[in-house]
Amino acid sequence: MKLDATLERIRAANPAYPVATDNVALFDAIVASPGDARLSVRRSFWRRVSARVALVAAVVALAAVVTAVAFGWSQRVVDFFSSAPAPARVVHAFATFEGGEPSGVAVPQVEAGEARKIVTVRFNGRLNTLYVAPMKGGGFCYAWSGRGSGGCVAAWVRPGHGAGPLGVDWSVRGVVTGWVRLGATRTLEARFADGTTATIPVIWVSAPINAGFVAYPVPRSHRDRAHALTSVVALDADGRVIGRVSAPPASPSKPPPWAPHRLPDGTRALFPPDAEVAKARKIISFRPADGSKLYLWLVPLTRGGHCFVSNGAHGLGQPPSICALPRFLSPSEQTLSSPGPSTPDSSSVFLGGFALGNPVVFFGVAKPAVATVELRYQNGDRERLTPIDGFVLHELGPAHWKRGTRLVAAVALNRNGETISTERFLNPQQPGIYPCNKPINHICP
Amino acid sequence: MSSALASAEDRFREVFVHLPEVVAYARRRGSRDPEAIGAEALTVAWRKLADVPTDDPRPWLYATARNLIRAERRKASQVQTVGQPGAQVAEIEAGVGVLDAELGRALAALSERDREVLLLVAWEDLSPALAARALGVTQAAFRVRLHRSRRRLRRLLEADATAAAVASLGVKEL
Repeated sequence: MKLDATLERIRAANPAYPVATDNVALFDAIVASPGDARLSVRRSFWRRVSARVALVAAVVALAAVVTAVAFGWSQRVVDFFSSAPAPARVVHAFATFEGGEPSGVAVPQVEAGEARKIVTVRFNGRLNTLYVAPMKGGGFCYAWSGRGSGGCVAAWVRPGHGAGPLGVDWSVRGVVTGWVRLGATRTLEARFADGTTATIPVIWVSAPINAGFVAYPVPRSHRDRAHALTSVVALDADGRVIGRVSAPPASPSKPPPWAPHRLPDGTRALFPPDAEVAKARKIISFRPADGSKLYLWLVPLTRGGHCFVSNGAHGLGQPPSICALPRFLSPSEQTLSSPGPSTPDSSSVFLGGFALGNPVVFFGVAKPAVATVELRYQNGDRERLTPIDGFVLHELGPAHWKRGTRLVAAVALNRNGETISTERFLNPQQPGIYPCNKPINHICP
Repeated sequence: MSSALASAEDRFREVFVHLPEVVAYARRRGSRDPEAIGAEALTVAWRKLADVPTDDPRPWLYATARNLIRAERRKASQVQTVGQPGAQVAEIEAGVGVLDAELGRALAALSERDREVLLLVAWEDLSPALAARALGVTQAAFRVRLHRSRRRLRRLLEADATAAAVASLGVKEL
């Protein structure tokens, strides 16, 4: 368009031009969140229209699956809307599913009627079927028939429960079941005590689930302690570890050497033998608006590092003790209740997350370089918090519960006020995260 | 990954390449956190990918970013600790003022609607057809608005020049 002199003058005064930046992480983070389900719905529409094409595709897909199984598949993709609907008993089970979520979390809005039968595989000497149902607002619930596991994973809860790129259930003896978010993860790997590794087959399920599922029978050669499975890790396309879940102690018959201790204010928690409970310090204590009391205790370890105990760390009734060497936990660690010390993540600078329920609490662990943590909300509000001994515990008040006002990011700043890292929370519109006065169908919008 | 997911990701990739432009748009409009506005706009685009035009997503992205900036500004005007009301206008003035203080004052004096019409063409480099789409109006309506906005801006600039000339003569206006 030819501009006149006035517009040319405005153009010449342009104060900012686009600056190309490397935003691969942001791209991955966005596409890991629930996308537009209508695109898949449209596909199903066209599938109905061209049934013959679909039939041919189904035959080809079946052949591919048979071939893959025959030759040992490691990745498999299932189109959710093409999958058979789950039987009525499973739909009913999903409709009444509490998903094992911690108390205080709103009952997940499962679209039970949309549940699908994804795959049937053999483990533990019997056939087990995976059923998956989407959740309104993103996320999914899944259940393995038989003695398998199940649960619900909201699209946007991090870190803490349902956080990180993957979740593993160790409760089925000899079999690792779990899920992995569709995002940067390209491969799941089993790591064993003897240093060997194995690729874990993943069954990827398309939108609106956008996740992979695993049922990995641990090989018999890795059932003894010397060769036991020690962790499941998520690897990106470059083979970098982007998530890790450590295995519980190999022998459940031997209880972990942690013992219950009572802290000076009566708080009870489990601690490892070298925890110097007598030197425990309560570094944070305050009363949120509901009159309850939030606290954080720090207990040093003789080997270095410390354990901390807080009833605001992830909202469960019984406060767990979390031990780290040194005082930092990787965002990918999911060892909140694990008795072993966690491996520090040298690349991470700061992590934070919610404790759901009432009060709603922001909890963060910061490296020493972090002088200030700035919370940023949808409505432009910002709050600056100063870590105490590397910890941040802050109530997210009712002013930031409503849509449009919710927390979107936590930014770690150094002493010069420069940004070190940003923890961005996607999809703050997700229902069921914050409390409200008038839930709709038991869910807060 | 399924073809549905792959195609959605591929399509979103074409939208995502416009992130720097959305960030620049937010910066020019005086957002306090242009990067966050850009990220949020692209997140909305991913969630509503079926609504994003396939030919040129920029008008849709700018419209989304504009709504997000408005929300940011509304709250900023309510929360005094965050910023002062009218900061956005002040920031436009300050940004433009580096190069052209007179133009900055004139732009700030325009209504938001008039200003947006001009800036979409001059700064965002949109054709009238695309700019009309960004504002949700017809091309004809946009052209009328553009004409009127340009005329108003010219008058403001002329008035400013006259005032400056009067001031330089040291003559008091009666």
